Amino acid sequence: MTGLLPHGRLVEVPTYAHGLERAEAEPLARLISRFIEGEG
Amino acid sequence: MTPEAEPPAAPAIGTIRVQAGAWDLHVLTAGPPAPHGPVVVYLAGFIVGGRSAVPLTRALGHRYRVYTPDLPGYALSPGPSRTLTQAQQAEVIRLLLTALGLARVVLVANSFSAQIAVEFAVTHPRELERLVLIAPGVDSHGRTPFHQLARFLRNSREEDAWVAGMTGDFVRAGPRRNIETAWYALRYRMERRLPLVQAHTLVVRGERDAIVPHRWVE
Repeated sequence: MTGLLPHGRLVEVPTYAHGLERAEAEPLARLISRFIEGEG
Repeated sequence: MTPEAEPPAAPAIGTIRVQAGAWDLHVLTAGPPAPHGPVVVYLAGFIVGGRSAVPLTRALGHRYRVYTPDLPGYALSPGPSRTLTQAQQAEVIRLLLTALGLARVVLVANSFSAQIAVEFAVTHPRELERLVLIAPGVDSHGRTPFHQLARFLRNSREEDAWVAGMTGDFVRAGPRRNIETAWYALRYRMERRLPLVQAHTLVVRGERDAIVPHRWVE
């Protein structure tokens, strides 16, 4: 799907499964923050 | 903030009710009002809302103003007797932005809510600053109830707490809405809509995710 997006970027997070938004909320928020700020 | 830095004390989670058009929405909030900075709207996932959305809402609230709505018919937001489609839910998001006075937001969507976020990106590009899709479904090889149930059970072996956190919201939605939502999710062809998304988009997947395969997200 990322390949179909005109401006898409994929990050795969090791260790975690489908519920990573709960298990890994802080690291995920930092990843999202870097993307929002244009650093990622 | 650098990736290694420790965050400050956890921001408080608030709840508000927002009248978005005809819809009375329960919305979690976190983070400081930031009139000049990015504002995040977070869609929690397939049927779930409320409690299960708290960890990421709180974590994003360290940096941004965050709004996490329960969409009509799910968790603590009342809904119509007939389940809304992804396109109709995307319109609810637009109504929410209008009600909150937000011209442009970052939309973060988890799991099957990615379908709603993609619909919003296609139909309301000017209101979207950036798009984040976390564990987005449904892939073209998994569009049957059998496939999804098998994957759900396989994933649940690794994440007991994940399943427990969703149970209340599934019960609250009721069998008809759960079935209709699943039906819409299985029929949605995200691959046809993705080329129309103009926003810069981050796709995130856990490598042990049994529900969203690697070959789908790549």
